[in-house]
Amino acid sequence: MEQVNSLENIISINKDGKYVFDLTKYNQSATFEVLKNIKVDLLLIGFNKNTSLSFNISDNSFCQVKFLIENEEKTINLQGNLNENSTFNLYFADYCKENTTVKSNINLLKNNSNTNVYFTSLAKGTNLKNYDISFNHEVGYTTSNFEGYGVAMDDSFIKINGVSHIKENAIKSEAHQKVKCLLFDEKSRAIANPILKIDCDDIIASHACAIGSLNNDHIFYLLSRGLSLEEARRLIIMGYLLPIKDYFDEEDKNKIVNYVEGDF
Amino acid sequence: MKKLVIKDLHVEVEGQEILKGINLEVSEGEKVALLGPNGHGKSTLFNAIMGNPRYKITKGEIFLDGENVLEMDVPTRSKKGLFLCFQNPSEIPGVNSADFLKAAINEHSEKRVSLYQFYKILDQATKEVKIPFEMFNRSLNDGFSGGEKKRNEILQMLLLNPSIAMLDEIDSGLDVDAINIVSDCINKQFEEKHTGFLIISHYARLFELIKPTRSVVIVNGKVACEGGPEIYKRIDKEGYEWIKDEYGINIEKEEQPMNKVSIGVCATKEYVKNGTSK
Ligand SMILES: Nc1ncnc2c1ncn2[C@@H]1O[C@H](COP(=O)(O)OP(=O)(O)O)[C@@H](O)[C@H]1O
Ligand SMILES: [Mg+2]
Repeated sequence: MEQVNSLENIISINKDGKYVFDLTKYNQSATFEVLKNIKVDLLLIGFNKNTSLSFNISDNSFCQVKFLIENEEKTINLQGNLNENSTFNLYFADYCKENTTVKSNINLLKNNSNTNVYFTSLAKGTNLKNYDISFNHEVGYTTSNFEGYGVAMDDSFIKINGVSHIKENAIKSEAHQKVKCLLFDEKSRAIANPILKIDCDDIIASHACAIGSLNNDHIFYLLSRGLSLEEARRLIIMGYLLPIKDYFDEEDKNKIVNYVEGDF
Repeated sequence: MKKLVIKDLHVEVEGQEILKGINLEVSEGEKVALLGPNGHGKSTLFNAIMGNPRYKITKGEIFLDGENVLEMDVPTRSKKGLFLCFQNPSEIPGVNSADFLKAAINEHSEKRVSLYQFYKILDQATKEVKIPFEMFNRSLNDGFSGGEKKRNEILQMLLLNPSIAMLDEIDSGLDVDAINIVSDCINKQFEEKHTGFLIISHYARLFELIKPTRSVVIVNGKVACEGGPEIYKRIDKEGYEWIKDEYGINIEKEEQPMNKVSIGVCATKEYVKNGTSK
């Protein structure tokens, strides 16, 4: 790829486009420099057990990164630094059969930077899924959005920490967190701690968190239209696990559908 | 002709007896107005007939065409031809409306409908209830207004074509235009398919448009009186006080309605307030 300059583990990108990076080539640790005024779409593959990633998004650039997390246990550490007018979007589709840890810290360093973090996690067996997602709004006119959907089955446990820190001078900033987890079996567990730290007036912030088992009224509604219990549960679970597929390309979309449909 | 028969039905909700021996019959080709003060068990009756597990049947029987409804699971009741338009339809985020409707139609037909057939059927039905077709790409009832939810209930009734339909305050929260749309759909369903209707409403306006053939009044969890259309007309004028006087029934306190969806635009007066003994 000629647009890409790779100096050891620093990868700088200076042209619009869609890129696929195989992380095994970088020893699971890489810094991505997205240069000014470009629009990039990254798909990362080849995760091993531990991965450390860092992203610097320059002025007026747009960068989205999609993670399809599969197979063995994984830990992903991620840091993002956003400059003026930049957008940084992360999508985690976590269908990993083992434990997953995602730690992400995004710094909104300059005005008009914004970020969206969206994850879907399916936990089974005795899986522990750990999501630590934080945002620092260092300056004004910055926006962060965090949305997470989890389905915990069997004895699994989904743990979500979301911290949005709007600092002293970050006027007109916006921070939103929304987390929903469905506990499928009696022993399934989930905890969500959405935290908003706000050191500034004149901002907009919200958090919503819903954890619970299948809603009996919803089930009754669906059954009353003739759907079987299995079909009703399937439709509700699809609602948690499938929508993220729209952010992925065809091949991964199909994988996601297979992961979800295969189970229900 | 299908017939729903309810015999001496007793129902508990959270340990409290709400229905205390209901006897009621409705056949295809009949329209029955179901009235009664708030909190006296009308919605409880519908939920019990449909099989909502929150409502525990402690005594009595329900038959549909001689078959024991209480032995059927909920989807079977639906497939046998019972339909409930909910007073407060659930919003189910994440469940795609079109997927849900397709699944429901498939459960009700011998052969699976093709995608093409399905969209044709849905397109037709959305025109009848006047909801934009695009809204069915969204989650079920998610972001629908109170009135849209009610019309979505009617749309489902049209799609599933029941033999007995129970409409629970289908007109609350609807403006005049929407009431007209809904009553047109009900009348058409009645004339073309001879569906039998049990219709709960507090407003004479809907009844005037639908013209029920019978009225049944539920007070204190029992049928207090039955008769022709003159009964709903009288209740519209006078409230429920006369039932106390003429039938010697002491009407237990009426509950304040928990109107989750109503936005207070109903066109007729709220007669219930004045008509109950406190
Ligand atoms: N799901 C429920 N949970 C708890 N109480 C209920 C429930 N449904 C009905 N009830 C109670 O049963 C009684 C009758 O209610 P309902 O059948 O809704 O009355 P109506 O439809 O005639 O206004 C009320 O006291 C109400 O509070
Ligand atoms: Mg009611």
